Amino acid sequence: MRLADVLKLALQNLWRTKFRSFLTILGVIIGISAIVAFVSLGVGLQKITSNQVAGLNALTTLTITQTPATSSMEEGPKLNEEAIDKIKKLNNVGSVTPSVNMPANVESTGTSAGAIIYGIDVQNANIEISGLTFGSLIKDKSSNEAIISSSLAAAFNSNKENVIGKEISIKILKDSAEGYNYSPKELKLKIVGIDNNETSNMVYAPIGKIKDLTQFEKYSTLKVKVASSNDVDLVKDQIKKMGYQVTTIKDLVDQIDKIFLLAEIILGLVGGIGLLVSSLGIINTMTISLLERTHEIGIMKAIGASNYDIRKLFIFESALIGLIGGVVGVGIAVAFGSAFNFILNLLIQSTGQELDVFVTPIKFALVMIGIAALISTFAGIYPTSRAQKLAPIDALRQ
Amino acid sequence: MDSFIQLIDVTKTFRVGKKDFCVIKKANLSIKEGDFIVVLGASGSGKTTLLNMLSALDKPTSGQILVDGEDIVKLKPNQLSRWRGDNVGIVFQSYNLMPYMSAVDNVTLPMVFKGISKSQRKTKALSLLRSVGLKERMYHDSNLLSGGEQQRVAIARSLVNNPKILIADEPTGGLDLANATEIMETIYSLYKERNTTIILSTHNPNYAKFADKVIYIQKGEVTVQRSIKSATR
Repeated sequence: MRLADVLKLALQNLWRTKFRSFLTILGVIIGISAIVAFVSLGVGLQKITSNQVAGLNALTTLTITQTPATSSMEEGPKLNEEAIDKIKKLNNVGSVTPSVNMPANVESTGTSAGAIIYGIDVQNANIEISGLTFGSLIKDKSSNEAIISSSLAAAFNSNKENVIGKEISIKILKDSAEGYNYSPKELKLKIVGIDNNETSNMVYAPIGKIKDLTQFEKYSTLKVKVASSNDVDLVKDQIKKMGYQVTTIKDLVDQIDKIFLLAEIILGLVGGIGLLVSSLGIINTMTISLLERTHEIGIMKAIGASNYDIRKLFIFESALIGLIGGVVGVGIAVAFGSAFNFILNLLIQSTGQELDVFVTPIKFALVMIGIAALISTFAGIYPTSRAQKLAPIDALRQ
Repeated sequence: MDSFIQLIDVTKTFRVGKKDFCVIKKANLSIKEGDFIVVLGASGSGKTTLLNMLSALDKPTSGQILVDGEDIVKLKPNQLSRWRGDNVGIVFQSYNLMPYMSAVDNVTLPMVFKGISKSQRKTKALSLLRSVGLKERMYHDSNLLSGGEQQRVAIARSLVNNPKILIADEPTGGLDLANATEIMETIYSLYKERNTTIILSTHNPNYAKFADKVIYIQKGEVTVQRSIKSATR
């Protein structure tokens, strides 16, 4: 029996009992669309979260810090010029940007606040500063300019933009044998930019200016840029062997991915219950179909259909229910997700952001269609085995 | 004289409750290739049981059925289906057509199970439907045809795979006299064209005139007589 004929007869049989077939397929559609929608929501939220945590730039950046002393181990090597030279010589390392950070008291427009001062390499400022909301970057390393965080700008003036061009004076808090003291000298800089950090009070200034003020002997962190995210783990291992502590945004993103994967599995299982119920529907439909068509099966066997032919017919019918249900179910879930994303983006158009809450990976959609067809094929095994075992003479008598 | 079909001590019993009913008792028969056999007997005499065994739809309780030297009783269910598809065409009293299919689709169905191509199937089905006089009603759904027309479709279907044996179980049983006569004439003219071995059961003794041999069944006893036709040959 040719495949095209099996397909035609199977479709013909489903069409004969349109309403029942529709209800059975609807069960599969609900199950599949629930799984796909739930998982797409999980994937969408995961992507949004990962993008918030780390842009592409952050994913290829490693943060190196000095290993602190423990009861069993002395502190690790210092982060100084020698360390920078060593790290620069490693394969796949693009740039090494030092920075220092220290607590300070800052004052501007008559308001003072606690903040963390970052001494940064002005040429590689984009490694430290994720994005400017207002103003511009520091011109060069000799400029008496600073960039402050949105959170600090808000502390100085409710209209953040008005802070641009104002002077900020910085007193560094130093840890000494007598305890914490403010540096005797003050650093006065002009605020030229505001970044998008809404949660912490930060000031970014040229690292040379901080050196002049504090005469620090080691850097707080080194930011190592690698060519691609695939190089991150390799470079990380090499620097760790040199005795430094290394953290990457990739680690955090991996953790987030694991949490979301778990959430997606749970959501998928919830949707899977629907699919399980629909597979019972398929067994029921195919069994009723078998009972109704017993005489017909007898005729088919009498005119030359083998048990194998009957099995092919029933299995194809079952698989078609799953395949149609899978395709339509995935289609509905994707359409629903796209409509939701479209409406959401219309509503947040003014913020200039674009958010896709539902993201359906193509591979996942195809796998779900395959699973739907597979489950319904399995659901058809019991009625199929009953159909093929029917003796033609018994079937004809019914 | 070589036998094409041979029944050796064929017995068929049915169990009803705790009792066994013997429908065919130790039947011995020999049929030549190309014979037209009419099986006569009253209702319930065992005609259908005998034909079901000859068409491999049912198996005897004991005995052998040899067709062209092969004991079909020993074939497994899947082999039997193939054997039926290759060797036997069956015409039922109640037509047994697929009601949701057109006349032509019903006729092509046995060829579908043999994996014959669509174009070949159609050509053959149309030719057979023409030869049974259904040229105008080929594409009508079979449940919209009259009893006589449905039986013609069933005859065309039974012959579509060029079977060596045609088994017709009371093919005129549900038809009026005019239609019954037409059906018998159709079967007989096809028989003459094709030289197929035909085994036809009926309770109408008038059809014995078509037969080379007449088989009588009475209370499970099977007896054979040469027919009027062969007697006058």
